Amino acid sequence: MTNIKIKETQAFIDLVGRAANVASKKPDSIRSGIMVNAKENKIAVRAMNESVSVQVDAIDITETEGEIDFVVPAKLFLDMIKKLPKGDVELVIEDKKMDIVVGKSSYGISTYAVDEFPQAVAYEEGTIFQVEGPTFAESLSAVVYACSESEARPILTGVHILSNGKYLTLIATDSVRLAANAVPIIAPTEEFKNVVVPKTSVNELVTLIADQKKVEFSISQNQLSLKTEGITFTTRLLDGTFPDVTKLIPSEFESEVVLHKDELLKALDRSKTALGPKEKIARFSVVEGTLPTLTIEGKTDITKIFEELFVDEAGVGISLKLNVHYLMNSLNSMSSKKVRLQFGGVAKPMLVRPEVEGATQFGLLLPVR
Amino acid sequence: MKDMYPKNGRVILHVDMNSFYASVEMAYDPSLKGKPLAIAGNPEERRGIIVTCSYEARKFGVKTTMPLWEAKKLCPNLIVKKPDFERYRAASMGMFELLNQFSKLVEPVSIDEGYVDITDSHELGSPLEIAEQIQKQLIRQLDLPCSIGIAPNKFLAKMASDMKKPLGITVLRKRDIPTVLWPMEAGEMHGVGKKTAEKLKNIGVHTIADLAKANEIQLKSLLGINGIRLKERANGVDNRLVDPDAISEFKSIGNSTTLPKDISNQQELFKVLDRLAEKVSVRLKRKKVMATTLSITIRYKDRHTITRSKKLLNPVSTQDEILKMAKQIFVSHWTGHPVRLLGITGTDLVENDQAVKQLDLFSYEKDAKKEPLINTVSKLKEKFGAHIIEQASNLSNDKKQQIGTETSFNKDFLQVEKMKKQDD
Repeated sequence: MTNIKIKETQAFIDLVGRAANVASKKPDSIRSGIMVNAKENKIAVRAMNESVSVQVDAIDITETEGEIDFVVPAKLFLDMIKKLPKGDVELVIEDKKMDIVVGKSSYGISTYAVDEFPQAVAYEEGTIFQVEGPTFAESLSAVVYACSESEARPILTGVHILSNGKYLTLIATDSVRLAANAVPIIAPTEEFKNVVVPKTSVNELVTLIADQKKVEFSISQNQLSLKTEGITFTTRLLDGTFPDVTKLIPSEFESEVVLHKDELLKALDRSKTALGPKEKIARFSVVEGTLPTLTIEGKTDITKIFEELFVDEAGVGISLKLNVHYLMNSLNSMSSKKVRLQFGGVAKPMLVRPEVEGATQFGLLLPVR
Repeated sequence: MKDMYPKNGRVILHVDMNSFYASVEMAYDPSLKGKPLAIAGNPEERRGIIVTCSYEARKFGVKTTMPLWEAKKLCPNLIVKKPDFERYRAASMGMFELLNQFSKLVEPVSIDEGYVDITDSHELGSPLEIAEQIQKQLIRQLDLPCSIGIAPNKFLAKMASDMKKPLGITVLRKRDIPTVLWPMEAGEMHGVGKKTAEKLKNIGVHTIADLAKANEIQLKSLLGINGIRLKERANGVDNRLVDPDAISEFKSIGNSTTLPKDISNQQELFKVLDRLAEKVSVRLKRKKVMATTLSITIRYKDRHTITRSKKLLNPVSTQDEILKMAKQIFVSHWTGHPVRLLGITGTDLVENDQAVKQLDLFSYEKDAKKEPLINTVSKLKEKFGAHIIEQASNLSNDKKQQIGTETSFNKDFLQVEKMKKQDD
């Protein structure tokens, strides 16, 4: 029997929460558990799923007599410790169970066999790059929506990270729309490409690094590793070659307009509601004139929509059909007040850019014929 | 000749082929004539029920949907043949082609019956003469017997064609209704099935005359709006027009097949899917539509049946596209157990020229190259009509190709007919 005294309950909950987030969602798998290692004033929590392995460490939030390892179901354990009454929390670990004891409350949870829990994926030294945690997290989450949902082309289910030595470019595409962003690298590094992080790992990575000032990544053969104070994270990378999209992105445009993002989003949201779940396509037209506008038209068997939005700058008239939902996804990933829509042609990609100086982010979407 | 036609109102023929499949078989093989013949779904397999039979077989009491063994008991000399849908379709096409020579207003109802509106065909003769010509020409050109009803509307024409079989021609005028139609049992009326007939009996409606005079409120509470409609029909009222396009109002196109044995080998099942995909593709193209949702039906050995569908980003109509999606859906839902029946159905159909295509980042340049061509084509269509030019792949001049299977038995074969008209 070993006792772990929790000295900082909130810090302990946060720590478990970070690992539990990664634990596999498949309920019967051993990977749905987290492995806790406690020794004296140190504690480490490990979790893994099909793509990711993570370990979070902390000092002085627990006190243990000697050393103990145990594996408990992640979600259940986290939910329990979040709801404990006020008071000193103690974990009492016996052969096949663990009791959470607070005052007169006591909850026992069966534990999994420790030796069945998979080995941690080792941190591997490789190409190193450093970025600011919040910036990287924000940029990643702004592109991940465009990843493919379909396994038809597995490589497109991840975010492509490439480096020119000074900044990282992040690209996600499901081949119908694309999202791109750039993140400065703190110290100059090597150029690399074809580092493709699975979509699911991106979400887990983002929560881990969002509050880390500086994070250092290492890219090796088929994994991306991160080691920072208290966090060791590795994710597998997707096999295959991410297609080169640079040549497919137009640099010349038939027409461009600038307009208020929120105004456009609200109009699109109304259109989406009126079009219903079955119809996603509307016609977008740039109308020239003394007061240039962007119009949105669409119809179903029972509804008809028309929106007319004033635009700040307008190019020549153009009219094409777009997926309303896709355009909304793209706009929602941007934080600027105004956006610039650039139309390559009726059968060519259109771009959405935040209308701010030095913006590196853009969304791309293919029209519907 | 115009005075043989009503001043107001229409003249409608209902042409009903007599025991069509059996007659087609006899036309192909005249030695079968005069013998009891039945067409049954795969005689040696478990689907052995009578699809249709000749009048000679009917004399023995053989009926449609009767199991084969029962029919053989009633008529030991029964000749049983497998259905040859390709043959029946060819014959059906021939028949509708012939009907089209008498009027542009031909509405196919099924493979072996259709309505013809001959109101404006007075130059060809009196209604009776036209009916006689149709009957004779069907015999002479296709060696196929039919019965024809002549009436002022579809319902009466349908009732009339039923009155004399085989090779009958019956005229049913409005003034004949009390003497001819009303004495008939309500159950004999087109549109009144067994269950409806039972219900009608419960309220004292036995004959069509009873129905014609029945209380509307009572009818409506018993049969809903259909009750009112039946009463109208019983009084000889039917305002439905003969609509040659009625056939294109379809909602889904699907093919399924019961496997000769239960199969659990994935490769073999893929081959079955491939064949089904081909059939669905041919039918989609024939109808000039594309499917935006694809469903797969799997029936297992224990007869447990599931149908799973997937909404597609882009509508499909080619065999490759259909097969690709069908395999995806199949693989993600198949339990691995032996399969008895497989089916592919395309739904949410859109017409080819209304189908939208979400362009793809990796192929839009190819599409963009077609752009000037597409513009030219749409200008041509605007100027000369939608059928002035079409993609060769959309033209289905593959009349010989077998379309549909055992279970896809619906009206698509008639589509060829329509297309030909458009080509003219």
